[in-house]
Amino acid sequence: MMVIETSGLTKFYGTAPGIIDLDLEVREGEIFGLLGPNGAGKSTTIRTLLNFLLPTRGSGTIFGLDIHKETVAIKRRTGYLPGDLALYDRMTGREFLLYFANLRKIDTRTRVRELADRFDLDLDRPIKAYSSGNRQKVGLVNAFMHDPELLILDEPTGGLDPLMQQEFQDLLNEVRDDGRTVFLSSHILPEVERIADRVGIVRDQRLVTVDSVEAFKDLGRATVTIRFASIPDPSAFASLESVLEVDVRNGGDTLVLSIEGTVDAVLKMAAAQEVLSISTRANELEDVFLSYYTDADAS
Amino acid sequence: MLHNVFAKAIRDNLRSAIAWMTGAGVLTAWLISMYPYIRGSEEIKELLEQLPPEMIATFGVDPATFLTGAGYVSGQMYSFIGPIIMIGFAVALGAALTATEERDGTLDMLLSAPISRRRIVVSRIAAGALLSALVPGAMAVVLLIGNGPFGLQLSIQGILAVNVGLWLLGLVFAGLAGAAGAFTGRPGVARGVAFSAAVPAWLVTTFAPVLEWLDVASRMSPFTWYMEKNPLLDLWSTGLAWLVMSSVTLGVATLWVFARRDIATELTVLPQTRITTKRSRHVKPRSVYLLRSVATKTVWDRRRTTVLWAAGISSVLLASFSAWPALAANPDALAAVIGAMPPEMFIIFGTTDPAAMATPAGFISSDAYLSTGPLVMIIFCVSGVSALVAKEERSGTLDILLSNPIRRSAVLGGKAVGLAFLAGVIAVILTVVGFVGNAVWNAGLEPMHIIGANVGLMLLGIFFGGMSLALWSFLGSGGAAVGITSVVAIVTFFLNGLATLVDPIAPLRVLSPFFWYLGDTAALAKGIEPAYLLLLLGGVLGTAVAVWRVEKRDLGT
Ligand SMILES: Nc1ncnc2c1ncn2[C@@H]1O[C@H](COP(=O)(O)OP(=O)(O)OP(=O)(O)O)[C@@H](O)[C@H]1O
Ligand SMILES: [Mg+2]
Repeated sequence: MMVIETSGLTKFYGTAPGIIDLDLEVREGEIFGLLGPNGAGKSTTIRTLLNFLLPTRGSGTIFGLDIHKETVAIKRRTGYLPGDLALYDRMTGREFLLYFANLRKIDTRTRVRELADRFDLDLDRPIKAYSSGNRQKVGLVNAFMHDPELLILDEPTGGLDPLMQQEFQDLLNEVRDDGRTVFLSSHILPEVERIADRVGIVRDQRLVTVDSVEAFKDLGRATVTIRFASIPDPSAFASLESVLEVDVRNGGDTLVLSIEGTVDAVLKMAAAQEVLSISTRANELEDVFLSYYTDADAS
Repeated sequence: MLHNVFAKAIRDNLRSAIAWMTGAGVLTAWLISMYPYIRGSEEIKELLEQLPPEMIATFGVDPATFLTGAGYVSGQMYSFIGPIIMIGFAVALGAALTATEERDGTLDMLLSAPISRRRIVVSRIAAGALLSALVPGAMAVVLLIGNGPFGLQLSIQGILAVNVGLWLLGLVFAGLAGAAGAFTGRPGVARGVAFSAAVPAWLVTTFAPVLEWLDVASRMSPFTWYMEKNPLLDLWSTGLAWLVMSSVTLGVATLWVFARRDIATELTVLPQTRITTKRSRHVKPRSVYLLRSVATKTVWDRRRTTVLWAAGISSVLLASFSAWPALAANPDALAAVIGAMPPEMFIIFGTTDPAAMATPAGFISSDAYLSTGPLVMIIFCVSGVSALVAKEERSGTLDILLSNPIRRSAVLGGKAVGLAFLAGVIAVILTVVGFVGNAVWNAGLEPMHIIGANVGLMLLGIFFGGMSLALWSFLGSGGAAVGITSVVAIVTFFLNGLATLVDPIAPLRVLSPFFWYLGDTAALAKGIEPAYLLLLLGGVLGTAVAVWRVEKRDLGT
């Protein structure tokens, strides 16, 4: 079942494009990451899905409900974290969350207490006095407190420290274990790589590609760095079929090899000499990601 | 109080509602407590009968009924002060309908809750209508209590009718602000549209009895619908129905527009027709020179506001000029009427020398340099400080500004200079308007006096601007600085007048900036007074204190 489905969804700001011809499908129970550089159209997509912006053309559904006509019904089952977070400064965190729980006509007090504990968030101070990370936490608690079927999170980890990012990731895993769905945007790759099941890449207001994180990784190249006790012969390595590129570093005793396919041949050749250390940075999404950008830039 | 949008709207605005309500109630009490002076006066009665009715219509006084409680109350309270208070509060509520939250960015969050846009607007309209009813409500209560003791002889129905009328008048302008805010998403525009509609509408209605050519325009003014018949006597007139219809229409328009808008995009969008506001385009090259320094950027930020407020005072000034010839037809009778009225009645408008009202300088000063003008000028300077300095600290842009190699004091000084310059621009515009009015309507004012009046007005604004700047530098809160400055302005305004009547406070009069500005001579009857120097010094001192203080303070806490 598709939770989010759009066809040809397009939003122009006057004449400036926000997102163009977006065909997107987000499946039930998955964590979908929308990746793209600044200004690619991520926030526009999200704000159009939530009916803050009216599509210039195209249409979309969430839970099979029309994003424009049935937006209230959609929001009942959705939790949202804005990318540009603004809160009612004069309220305390608790009052803020109480108000939004009331608007949903549910009692979330237990869940709020639980989440606040997990995020180590003091709810009884005025929001004005919060640090930016703590404001972000209030936004996150608001999105999660009613255990929605779908979470739409625009750059959720901004301002969170590593510990809290871990907590957030655990929370997402629980959501996935429950079979609920997450749609998040980010431009931080390692984050999406860790969290998401599938990734869509947007660039210049268009969705360039969608695939699973694993598939992206397979596409990628690996980088192997080998440090030898004595100076090796780089051309021997370069002649191997799997080696695309050889970089000589550190006065010649270190080789940085760019590899496609298996590392077998490289390892065997290296083993002929005394190897001090070896590291591989294999198949990272970042490489794919960057190559998508640079490829597109080139064209 | 956090149950739903309605309850939260009540909670958010309750404090200011109570403040406005108290102000309205106290002023009403003050005015009706003076009625016994009037009621008994045969002298005033005779004098009034000698005058052509239109002559004093511009004072909001209906000669036929002035001596009755109904005429007195409607003339003194319900034709000027009451509407100012009502509309001031109502427009603030209208701007907060959607625009304030849209600017603050919290509307995204609110709309992510399962609640429709229509529902939000309807809830807030209901809350706003209820809250704004508190102002006429308080006035009605004061009238009901004072009715017997002060011998006003008002009918209960009449009290009800006039306050319902006032409330409806407020709703029309709240509706205008609400619709403009829903259309643009900008509270400043919402307020601007509502006020720039209210000022001419009020002028048209007020001066229509004297200036025939205003007749058609005055048919379309909400003030005419509200004031043409005196609801204290005529009870429910058709004008009230017009008020209901226009506020309902504006409410529906707000709902319609808001349901179809892109939220927080700087775009004003109707279905299919897309209008891009100027601001969302690139800064036009011809304006770029204004972005060179903090001071010029201040001018850039406030350029529209400046023009708007200058236009407001200018129109009041021109209206006073144009009404003068009609009044000048029988100056002696006018002087006699004014002389027979109790001075307390004028003090509320800042006049300590009522006799001067019968001279061109005194009469023309009475709106532009005594009541409306100073009000607008002070609001311009004080709200300028709040918008330029305090808001910048609150929104965090001050951090970015100060990450440049520029001292805090230079930033603050630059803003103060920019704002003072703009107050000067308003003064220059008014001077030009004054010269034109003087020539066209033959008022015979001295050129130096016209210049002097505007210098004084400008310095009065600078004085209170400097004060709020100093307060902000200590308190770190724009709201508190504006609040305290307003209270000081109101208290010293009344101090200036009251001190001439109440002996124990007489020595304090010299402390009032309004005394330095007004003295006992109408602004247009004197040149640049030495006392104006005190206003300038006060403004400079306030700024200097702020500049000194801000170097030593934590920012954004
Ligand atoms: N109000 C607006 N008016 C005009 N153009 C806009 C407006 N808001 C966004 N845009 C444009 O739409 C495009 C997409 O913007 P969007 O905010 O969706 O990007 P994003 O992917 O969320 O970027 P970021 O990573 O910086 O948050 C950008 O090119 C931007 O310039
Ligand atoms: Mg974004």
